[in-house]
Amino acid sequence: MNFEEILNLFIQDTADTSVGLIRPELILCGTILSLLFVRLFSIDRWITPSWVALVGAFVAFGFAANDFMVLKEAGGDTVQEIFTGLLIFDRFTAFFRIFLLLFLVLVVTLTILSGLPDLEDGPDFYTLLFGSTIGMMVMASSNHLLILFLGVEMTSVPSYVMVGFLKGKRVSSEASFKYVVYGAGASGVMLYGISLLAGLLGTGNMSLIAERLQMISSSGEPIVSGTAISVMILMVMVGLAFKLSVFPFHFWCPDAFEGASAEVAGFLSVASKAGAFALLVRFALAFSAGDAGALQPTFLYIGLGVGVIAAITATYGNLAAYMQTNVKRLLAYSTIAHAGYMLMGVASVIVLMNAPGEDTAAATANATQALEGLLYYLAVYLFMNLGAFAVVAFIRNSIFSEEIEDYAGLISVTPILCVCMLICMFSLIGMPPFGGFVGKFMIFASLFEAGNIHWVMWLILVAGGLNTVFSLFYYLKVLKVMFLDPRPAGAPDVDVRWGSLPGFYTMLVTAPVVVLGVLVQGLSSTAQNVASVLFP
Amino acid sequence: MYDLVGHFLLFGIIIIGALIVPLLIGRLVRPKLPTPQKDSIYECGEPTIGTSYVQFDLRYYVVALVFIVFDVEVIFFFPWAMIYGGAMHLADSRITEATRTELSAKMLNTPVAELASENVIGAESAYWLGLTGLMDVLVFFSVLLVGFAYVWKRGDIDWVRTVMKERTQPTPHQDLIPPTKTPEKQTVS
Amino acid sequence: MNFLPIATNIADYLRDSLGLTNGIAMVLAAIIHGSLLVAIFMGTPVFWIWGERKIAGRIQDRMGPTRVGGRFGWLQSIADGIKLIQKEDLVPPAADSMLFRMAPYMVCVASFATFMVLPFGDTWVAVASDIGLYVLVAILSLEVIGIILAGYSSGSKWSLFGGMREAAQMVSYEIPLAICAIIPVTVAGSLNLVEIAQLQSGGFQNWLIFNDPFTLVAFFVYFTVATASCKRAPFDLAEAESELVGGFHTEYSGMRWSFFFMGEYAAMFVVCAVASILFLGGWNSGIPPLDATLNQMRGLSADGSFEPMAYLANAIGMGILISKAWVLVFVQVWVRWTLPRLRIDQVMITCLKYLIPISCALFLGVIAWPLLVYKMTGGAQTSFASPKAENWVKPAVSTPDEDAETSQFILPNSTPDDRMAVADDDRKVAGGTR
Repeated sequence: MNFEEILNLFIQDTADTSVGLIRPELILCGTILSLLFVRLFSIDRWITPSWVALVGAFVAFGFAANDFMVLKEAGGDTVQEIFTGLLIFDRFTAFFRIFLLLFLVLVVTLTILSGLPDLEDGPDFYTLLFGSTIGMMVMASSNHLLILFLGVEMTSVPSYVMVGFLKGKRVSSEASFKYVVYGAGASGVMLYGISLLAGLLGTGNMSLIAERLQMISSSGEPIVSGTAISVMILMVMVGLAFKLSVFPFHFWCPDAFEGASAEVAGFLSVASKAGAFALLVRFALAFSAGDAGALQPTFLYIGLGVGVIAAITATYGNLAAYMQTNVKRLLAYSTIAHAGYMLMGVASVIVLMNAPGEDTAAATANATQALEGLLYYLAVYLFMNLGAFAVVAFIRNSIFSEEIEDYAGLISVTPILCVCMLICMFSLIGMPPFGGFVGKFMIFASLFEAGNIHWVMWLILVAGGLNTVFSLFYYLKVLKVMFLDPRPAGAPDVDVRWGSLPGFYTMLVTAPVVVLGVLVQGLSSTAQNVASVLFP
Repeated sequence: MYDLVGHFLLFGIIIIGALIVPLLIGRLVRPKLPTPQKDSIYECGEPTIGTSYVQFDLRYYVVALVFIVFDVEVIFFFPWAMIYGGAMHLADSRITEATRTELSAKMLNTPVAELASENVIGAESAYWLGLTGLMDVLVFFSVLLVGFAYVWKRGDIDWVRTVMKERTQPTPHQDLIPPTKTPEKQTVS
Repeated sequence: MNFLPIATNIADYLRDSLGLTNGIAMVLAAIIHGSLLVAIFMGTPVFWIWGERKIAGRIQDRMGPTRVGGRFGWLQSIADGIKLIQKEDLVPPAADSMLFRMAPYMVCVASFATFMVLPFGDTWVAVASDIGLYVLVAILSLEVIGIILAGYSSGSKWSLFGGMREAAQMVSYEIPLAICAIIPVTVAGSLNLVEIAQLQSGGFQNWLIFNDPFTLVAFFVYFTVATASCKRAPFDLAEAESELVGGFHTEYSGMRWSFFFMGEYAAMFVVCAVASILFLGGWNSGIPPLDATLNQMRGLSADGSFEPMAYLANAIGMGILISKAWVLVFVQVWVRWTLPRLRIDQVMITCLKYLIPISCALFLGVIAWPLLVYKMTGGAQTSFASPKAENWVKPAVSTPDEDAETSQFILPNSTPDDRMAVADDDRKVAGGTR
């Protein structure tokens, strides 16, 4: 192949194939630019930047939904490597794009309703929000270790700023600063792991990793031990664990959530977790794809290790949430706990994929089911967590407080917000009629399945079950204050009624929590369809 | 690389040597008679008040941030400009075959002797390479320039800013900030 | 052998003519070479400090130095140096002693180390690096650290203000400086300063300043920015003696104080030499017959041997380069004594609101230009002048027996062995730099 052919191939690959497949990202980029232009040419006197943002997010969501539908119609396992293998486009990518963009639309709407960024800061805020979302979409479609790092950084850097966005508030700046420092450390470790891995394997392309590892481990005298490889993998996972606020790297989470506004906290707790989980799944599967050969026990133990960490994370989050007096802090610990539950799902995927024995078909089917559970949980988690944070944001706008004690007797002034909070929290606990229950059940089922391969997974399952019980108490504590305590005299009124827009919005976000608890089939078959593409 | 670092060290040592010699010679001939007046910091005759390690205006940091963004961008331009220039030489159909071979070898980073004849880059494909490069850099650069224009419009690069306008405006998000239980201590800066 | 080419030449000469052993010859050659560069480095300030005082005097209708060394005061700088050596070496107790002593070295190392990639002739360069310009810009920007150190460690408010102003000014002017340095690179397609200079041989119409309208403007922008980045008036806010006493060097005295000037004048010389290489043809005279003759003389030592005629040609080239640089230095001096100092906000706005947008526009213009020419000429050429890249392939050296072979370059049909053999010959012909 001579130079001309390579050049032509490259131009064709970029212009004809790749650019078309990242339309949603490009639209978000375009929206960012138009937000800046709106400010630049003083158009913001006529058009509020938030509406530009909302339209941009909607259009991007439309394109992403269209892409997903086309892929689903086409059937089969279409997997397309774009930009010379840096990104990957398949149903999994498309699913997460829809997920993230739907969430973006909801968050933008929430900020419009709660009036977080004023006219002066509107373009700044939405630029950061959209930039972060692009980073998450890149994370979800990454097929290269370099893009993995790039995605994590693109997500993180705007989040640091968004956490510190309440400029007049000291706690906010402090939170932002803590987040930056922890984030920089985690990124450093992750980059070190990536450099070691890429150096060892001679490639950063994730679709080649399994093959190369196989080559290294099977070549008579192994160049590196399984321990060394697992250390490298764990170093990369440190960066992701930071984004997921998993146990030893969770310190930033409560402080950042407390300092940030409720809208930003809601965004971080759902979107950045979703992106990180997508990336974690891709990263984990890059290693276990195909026959892992001699390294199979290593991967199995990595899976178990992830599971143990997940159990610790969930327990820690739930226990620490007891002490909290601030709702956002409480929800932060709840976020940590939920990251633990979802990480259990990832652990069972890894364990099931690396089951000893020859029956790869069964292993694949089990792993698909585990992943399906994870996706379902994420989808429900989007609505229940956003609902909770939206309620916090609307209440804050009226009573200027986020302390639990100030929520006393809110049922008497704003029943709609209280009922929505109740539904979201019951779902977060995992109560049967709501979506959270179904998600949790699916993950626990896959944990049980994984227990057949190694008994440790059963212990993790027990830990998960116990945690559900623990979590009951602190969620109920908030609900008790809201519903049963008397409203003190002279407490400010909360002006959110049934018919008002905030009330309508909260109901809109909470409704899917109920629906997904009852009508399981639709989302679950989609999730299975999406999950199956990762297991060819 | 070895060459560059080695020479950097060599040049550093030579110049430090060349500077130390007059200082050492001076040691033999110069007086050393310190007095408190001579040792004090010069502030036009007034006694000094306070330390000199004072806080600085925020605008210095804004300039530093603008610099970081632009400098990173410019670093990427250097290798790009090299390839682009080479492509533009090659796109000229008047150059001789010998030059074309040499330039192709340079661009593909192979010795002239190992360059297969079908890999010699023709004028047409060099033009396409250049055009692709132009598109890349336009996207890359325009993003930066839009950001720069935005910073300009917001007035962040104005060295002298009208602070009175900002002071009379209410602090943003005043309504969103929950009142803290304990009043924060205000430090005077 | 691109390790110290001049030194290698000197070493060969010493070994052959004086019968020294290889090692001793190399060491001697390195010392000679090093001291040559130090001589340029030290000589430039010594000459230009006198020159500046003389020029300033004439501009202000005074005589300038007249006493030491005859009518023109030639030896004024030497006399100053001798005086400064005798001055007391003061380090204020309030200063951070180590940083205070370190700062002048930092400044001088930064400006002197740039000489390692600065070529004075085809082979007269310490490192003919492929990233020469990049390294040069990088090292030159280290100078500001020395200035900030000096300002910060002095323990004086004047110094600190001077240092911080310098930091803000330098980091801002660094951007247009680098962008303007990229503009000729975009035309030349190389970061190697030797190659950029070679590209411009064969008449002044080949100088990159005349390549297209954008490079013409870019030269003037570069020169302005370079003046500012050497903190020369009208951009000398760091010193600003009427506002800040002495700026960053308020607390310095004696020899240490003079080191800053050494660094400053050397940096002036370096940026002007770079301007000459990037835009004004480097060591090419701009007169086609003279250039051709010099190139032919240089070609005599293309195989790396020592040839007095080639040496002479390189020396003449060096003379041409230094005179071009000195003309530019003279303009800087002239500007200093003509224009009043700007205010700090004017300095910053000149850079951020004028020079950066202008240099960005020039950069975009210069990359669009060859494509425009390509379209206008229907795909035939990318510049209106004759293709400059031809200058890189050296004309065959006309020695009787090689004449026939060297004209054939690489034939596509020849066997690999043939090609290898021809290429080896060619590489010898092309000279040691590439």
